[in-house]
Amino acid sequence: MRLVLSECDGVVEPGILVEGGVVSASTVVAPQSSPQRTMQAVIERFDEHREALEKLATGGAPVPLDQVKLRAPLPRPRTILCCIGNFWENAVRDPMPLRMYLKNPDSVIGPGDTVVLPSTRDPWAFMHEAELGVVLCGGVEKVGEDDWRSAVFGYTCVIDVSARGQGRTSWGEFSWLGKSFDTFCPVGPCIVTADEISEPNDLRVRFWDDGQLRHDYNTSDMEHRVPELVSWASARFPLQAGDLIACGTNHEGLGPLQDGERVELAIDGIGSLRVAVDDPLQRSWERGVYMGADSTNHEARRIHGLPAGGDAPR
Amino acid sequence: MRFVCFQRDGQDSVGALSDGGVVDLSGIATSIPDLIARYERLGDSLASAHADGPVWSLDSVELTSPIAQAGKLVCVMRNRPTESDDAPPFGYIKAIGNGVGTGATMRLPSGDAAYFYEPEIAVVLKGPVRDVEPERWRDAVFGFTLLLDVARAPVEFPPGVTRENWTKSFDTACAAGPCIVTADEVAVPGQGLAVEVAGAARTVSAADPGQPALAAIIAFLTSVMTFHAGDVIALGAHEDTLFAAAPGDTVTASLPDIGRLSVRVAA
Repeated sequence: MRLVLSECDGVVEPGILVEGGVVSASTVVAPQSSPQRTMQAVIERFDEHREALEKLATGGAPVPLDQVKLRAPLPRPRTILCCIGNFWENAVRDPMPLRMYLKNPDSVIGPGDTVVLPSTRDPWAFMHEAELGVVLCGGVEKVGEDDWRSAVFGYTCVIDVSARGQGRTSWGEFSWLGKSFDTFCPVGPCIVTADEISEPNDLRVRFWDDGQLRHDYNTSDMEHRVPELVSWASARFPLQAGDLIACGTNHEGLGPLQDGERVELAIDGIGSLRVAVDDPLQRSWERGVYMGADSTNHEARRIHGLPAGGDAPR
Repeated sequence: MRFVCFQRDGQDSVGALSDGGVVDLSGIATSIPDLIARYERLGDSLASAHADGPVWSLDSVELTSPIAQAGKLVCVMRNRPTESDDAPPFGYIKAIGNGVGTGATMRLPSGDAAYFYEPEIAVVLKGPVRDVEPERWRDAVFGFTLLLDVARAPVEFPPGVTRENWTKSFDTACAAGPCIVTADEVAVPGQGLAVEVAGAARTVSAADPGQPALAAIIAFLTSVMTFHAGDVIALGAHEDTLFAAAPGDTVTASLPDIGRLSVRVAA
């Protein structure tokens, strides 16, 4: 099932994404005090309401997508965890320990929204990172890797927009603050329930910038895979329903975001998340995949006379 | 005024400290962020609730973390010896999660890692605020509280990595309280911040020799992100006030204008 939050006439309600559009689910789960609380209520009571939701999905009257505004399915998780350097980058390199940082929960935007680059000239560039998002159930605590599925409600698309200090180093280095500017976390277009994705570590992830393909990788390239991510996070952080783990990205396709661009992240089995980019300062960078000396892009490494792979992200 | 969160008969509520104990304000506010968001408009209803509301004695309630319902907590990375004094006051997002209040127990994660206490003053913001001018920082501040952060010694970090902020977000890691004092009652934020650690074999104490520039911190962080009512910025700890943590300790951070935040530490 594909769950969404949609807005019509100023009201944000839960819905089910079907072929003809969105079927409202508000007769099953009423809108709560906030859109995030609404989706949390769907997650927390999903088993109880599954049958009723499935009936709506097959028999409800969908409203065409051009008549509703899809909002981020998780507008404000309490916790957004993001993996650091979690991909082999299709290269042979030394294993690295699993690391995560927390991203500003107020940085979330949804389908059709706009990433607004900050009016500060200190970060030298702002780049996209296309990622699989794991949406958690409630009551998640110290989950073993063999029981990881009990903690996962579903999956979504996440763009981890990142301000750069030097090269592809995160601005503010170990603070990871460069990942937390307002609007730097597009999420959507929906949450696909976990029963529809049997293997999250075998999904193709593609990202286009104004139609130019940038990221194109499979989640099989993850070093620390989804079961370990769920187990590790649940052992270290207090988590609740609707919290989000972004699994990291294969950095080979990194590139700058620029004023006026339209970008799209597509993940197999989930769908496409499309957002725009606005830069009040109308800066420009060389268009295309980032090819600096610290890039993990194999062609960039070859140009710079370096072996494939790269250093631990900072 | 001094606002608190408290638990009584299994119910979480918002209150205000008074001479008699805690005035129950649950009739006018559901949470601290809710109180702050509507504070300017509450006017007479707050005054009435404070004057006429039920009062619970302090020993009949459990004070809980006054920032547990905050939307987000940003912690300034004050101890960065490799950075120049001109470097921006970068901060990281810390999980508030299951933070504890004064009198509660902080449970250190299992394992061999060493931890250090970091006593700090925390700013509780009005909201929404964004791009605050340095000279207008007071317009963005609702009040202040005490916060006890912990840091893990960097013994297991990958080569070249000097900080791992996720290690500061374990369950119970964020102790705060005892109350939020409104900004009008705090003359010089942070002046007199002291910490005392008492354990089986030792007692150590220190005072923070100086607080970082609040105006610059608020201006910088609000240039990065919007802060909403009840969001919190912790100002970081001076190296003079860092002490190694040990199960069995009682750690007390204190500030004359705010009070005492005291937590037990367990493994």
